[in-house]
Amino acid sequence: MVKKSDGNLLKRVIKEGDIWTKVSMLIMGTANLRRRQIVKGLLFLLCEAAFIFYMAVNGVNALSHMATLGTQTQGWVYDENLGIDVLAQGDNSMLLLLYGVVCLFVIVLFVLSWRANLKSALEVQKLEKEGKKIPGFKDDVKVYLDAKFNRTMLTLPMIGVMAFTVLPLVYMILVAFTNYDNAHQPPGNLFTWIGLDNFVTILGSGSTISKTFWPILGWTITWAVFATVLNYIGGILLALLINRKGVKFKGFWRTIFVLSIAIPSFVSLLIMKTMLQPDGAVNVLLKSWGVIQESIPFLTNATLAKVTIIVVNLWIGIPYTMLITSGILMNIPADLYEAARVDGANARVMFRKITMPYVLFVTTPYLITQFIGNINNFNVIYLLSQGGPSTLDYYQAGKTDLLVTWLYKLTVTSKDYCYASAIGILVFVISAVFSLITYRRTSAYNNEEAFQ
Amino acid sequence: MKKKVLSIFLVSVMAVSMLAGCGSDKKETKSADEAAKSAGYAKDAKLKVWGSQEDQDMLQGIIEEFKKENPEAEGWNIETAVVSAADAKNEVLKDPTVAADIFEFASDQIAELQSAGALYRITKNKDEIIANNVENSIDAATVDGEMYGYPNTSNSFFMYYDKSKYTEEEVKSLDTMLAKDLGAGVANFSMDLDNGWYTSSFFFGAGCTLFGEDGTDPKQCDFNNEKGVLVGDYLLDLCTNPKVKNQDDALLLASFKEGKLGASLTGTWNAAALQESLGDNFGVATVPSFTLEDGTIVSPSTIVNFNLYGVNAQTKYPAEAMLLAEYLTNEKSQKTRFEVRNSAPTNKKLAADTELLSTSPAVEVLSKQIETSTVQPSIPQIANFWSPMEAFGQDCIAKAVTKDNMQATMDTMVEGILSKLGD
Amino acid sequence: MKKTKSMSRNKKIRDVASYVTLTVLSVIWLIPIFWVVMTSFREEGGSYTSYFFPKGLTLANYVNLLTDNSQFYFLKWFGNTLFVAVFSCLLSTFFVLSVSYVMSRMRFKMRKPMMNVALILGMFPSFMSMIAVYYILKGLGITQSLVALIMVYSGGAGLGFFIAKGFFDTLPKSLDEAAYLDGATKFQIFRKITLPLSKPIIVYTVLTSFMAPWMDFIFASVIMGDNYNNYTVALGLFKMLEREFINDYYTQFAAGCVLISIPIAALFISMQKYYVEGVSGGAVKG
Repeated sequence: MVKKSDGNLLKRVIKEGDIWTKVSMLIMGTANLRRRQIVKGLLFLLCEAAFIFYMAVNGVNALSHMATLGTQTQGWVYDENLGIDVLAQGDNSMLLLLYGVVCLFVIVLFVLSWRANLKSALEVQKLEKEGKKIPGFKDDVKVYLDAKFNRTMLTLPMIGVMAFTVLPLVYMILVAFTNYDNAHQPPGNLFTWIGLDNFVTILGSGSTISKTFWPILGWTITWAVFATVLNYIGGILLALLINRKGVKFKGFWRTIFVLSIAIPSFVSLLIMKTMLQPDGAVNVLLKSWGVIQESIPFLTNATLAKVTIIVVNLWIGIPYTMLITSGILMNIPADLYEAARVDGANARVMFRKITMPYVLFVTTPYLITQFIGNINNFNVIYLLSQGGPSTLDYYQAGKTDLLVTWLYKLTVTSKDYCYASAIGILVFVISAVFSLITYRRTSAYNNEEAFQ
Repeated sequence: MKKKVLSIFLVSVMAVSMLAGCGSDKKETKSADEAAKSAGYAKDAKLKVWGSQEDQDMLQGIIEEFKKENPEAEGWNIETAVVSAADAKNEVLKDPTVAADIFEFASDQIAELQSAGALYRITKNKDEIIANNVENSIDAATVDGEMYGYPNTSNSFFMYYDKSKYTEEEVKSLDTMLAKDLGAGVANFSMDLDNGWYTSSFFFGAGCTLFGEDGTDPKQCDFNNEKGVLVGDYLLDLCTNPKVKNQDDALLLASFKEGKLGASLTGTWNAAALQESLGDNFGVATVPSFTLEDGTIVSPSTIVNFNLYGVNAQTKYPAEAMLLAEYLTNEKSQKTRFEVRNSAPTNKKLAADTELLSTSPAVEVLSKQIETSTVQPSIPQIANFWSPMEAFGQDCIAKAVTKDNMQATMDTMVEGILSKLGD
Repeated sequence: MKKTKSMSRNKKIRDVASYVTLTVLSVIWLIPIFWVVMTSFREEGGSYTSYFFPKGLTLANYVNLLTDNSQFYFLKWFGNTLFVAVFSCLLSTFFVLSVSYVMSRMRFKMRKPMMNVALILGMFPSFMSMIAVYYILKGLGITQSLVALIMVYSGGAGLGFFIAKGFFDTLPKSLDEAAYLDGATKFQIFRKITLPLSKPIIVYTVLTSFMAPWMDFIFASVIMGDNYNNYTVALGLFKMLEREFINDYYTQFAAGCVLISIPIAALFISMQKYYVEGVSGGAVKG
């Protein structure tokens, strides 16, 4: 899309543009300055100056290293005065890659502003030709509070997202195509581009890493399905229970369950972890009641640990669904039930035919985000079991590790960034495809304006 | 049409300021040269030292002493900040340019720090340092024949026992200890059975090696040889023995306190807590010997690692940093550290000073035991050692291993220890 | 006659069953909370005891936590976290409301593509890129500062607009149109009409973004590095669980947990009504 209109824009400038507009191609803002849009023209000019300054100081240098990610290894030179070796700085591949990415971002931004400059130049030229009033800076500001209010509102959030999400993300994605692993750590070593090798290693059969990847992927999906579905059903049932006609003190009951949301999850998870140890409070309590003789290995037996984690997650998750569905249940039109009752339907039928479809219909987007959230649910696993119990079958992972916690171990513990990032991309692709497909089918996406 | 002007302007200003910031890194090369020009030491060196939060006051004291004894350091600006030896690698490698000039790190991090180019090679007064510290600690500070760290303290584990339950004679052999009946509800012995740091001592004692004789060959590990399998059997027996408990620090502290435990393995960091809870019955001993199924008596060789001081390769004042690092680890400072923090010194004189060490039985035992200890390998492959060992321990506890499949299990374990991500 | 009697008996049985179930569930939900509160008052130290109920109760854990600054600066860290939480929730709320309002109320060329991108951007594990974030903050010259944390927690907030957008979607558009015909600009409509109607979703956004800084320990540790003074509470509590400290500090850790839970829980419970309205209005439409 950009490319096509780009061509058109250039063609129009060359064909229709007067001398000032054409000069704007080289010196941004000329056309605006000429037509007395001083502030705007200066802003354009400033953009260009800043860009040239940046490129001269850092940009060109940064770009030129993108291809190799550095060639000069750090070394040592003997200093006779001091009687010791001193450091001779080398290239730092990691920073070179990051600066390269930043430079690409700056170039994209500059191209966008350059195009905006040309468009603006054509616009004022046309206005002048038609003898219309050329808007001053104040008029522009007004437009940005009304017709182009969306740009004003989106600017700051977009900057935030660009700087703290997109830019780091691009950097991380690029790392997947390098050999930035434990043996190639900067600043002492250089790393470089190796293409798709990491993906081949991970997906290929028989390699150390693929033996771990596939089983963990399996458990990740199992976990996400169970955690999402059970939380959902549990939450709805709890909401129904609290909202029953016969139940009094609804607010009181709700508050009890809401407490578990209100307590920071890292606190409650660490506490649960301690309580569920073989000698933790739960086993102590059960033993003292005489219910069990031997400790239950809540988190040390692989199968039981998986169950325990899902159950603990219910403790955290059910109240959320309960809150959300309470609201929705109250919104279900009463006449639906009335009509069903007239037809002689009992409570169970009404639940199956009215309540469930209605709730399901309106909460599908919530379900999808929950599912994706669970695939990437770092906190529950990391704080509760840290992936344990360990197993000899996996590479640096335990039986309850999700892909995301395994990634954490690979990056933080063993510093194998390139593999971690390749796995991250795979997880990302799985969840992105899943959610885009399902999300596009939901009513929320297709009938946005249903209630407006 | 003033599309996006404002946003683009803001973004570019931000980007430029950011990049101007990023770009400034390159100029730091010259600093080392500057330092070099003024022969001797800079008058206004600025140094930062990292140590754990508990060490801060002690470090301040040592630095004051340092300034007193070295007049040239009078004008130096030396500050301390909190990063413990265990976290040093992550913090240094995250951004070496802002990391401390001198930092304390655990010796198992040395290979990775060295290969990432974060450590200064130590050439100055090297012979003296080697002569002053125990051999094991020098080995741990050495990578490929070059020294990269100043040995400071040693760190290993040994046995604590309750003197009301065992005599000094009995704690020499695990077999004797386990044979004794301590009464209902009291465990004879406990250790962290799923932690390779502890269990590896049984293998090392039986003569198995990790990463070759000198611990540098990432393709060698013979825990699955004949002796290794017997040790595996023994560990399995321990796990299934009702008199033996699998306890980490928190649990063994609780058990000792309640008088429900005879003996357990842990390190100096628990000495104070145990001395308090056991009182007069507080006893320490070297890790006891045990008998394999084929009748061989094995004395475990505990893994030992050292806390070293390293000089950051990025420091602007290398010579000054080395002077301070050397002082931080000299006999006097190590003695202070022993007195204040109950750390086991690596200095030969201190380690042999029985009179001094007798004030802390725990450190005394540790210093004695170090001679027979195995230095923890520090090649990066060591990162792969813990997880398979932990898995083996957990499988034993869960009785997922039997003596019949012990050989196969040990083979898998060794395979896990030697595996590499790219294979 | 007989039938109604059995029906009312049935109803009674079901009511009783509901109360019993709710009570049992409540107990299960409250046990961990009860346990941590109890532990925070426990006189005996250590992280494990072989009995459930403490042998002695004391306030010393709280007193020590708040007054003893030799190892942990709990009060300072608490203040840091509060500061970060307040400002990052203000910024995040502003970001989220701006984006969601635009996405819900305005129509422009890149709208749908932007929404799709936003949906999938959130799926990449964020800690993977934290080294890059660190160096970006370093480029801006603000590493190791609380401002950096505020930027990190609120910087990407614009992506989480889906629930708020769903809420705005449910507000009738006719109000906007009437005002527009009266000559109000979009900005005025947003400020004078939409915002006053959005209390539930504002409360929801404020609550969720206020809580983030209390829970994160990964980004905080990467950004703060050796700046012990600028730690957040979560980071500090984590430190207490390290090998050297856990035995002496576990009960203080529990006290710390209780202390940080109180303000959040109080805020949450008092705002519960709006939270429900906001989230159920929003989640309906995602």
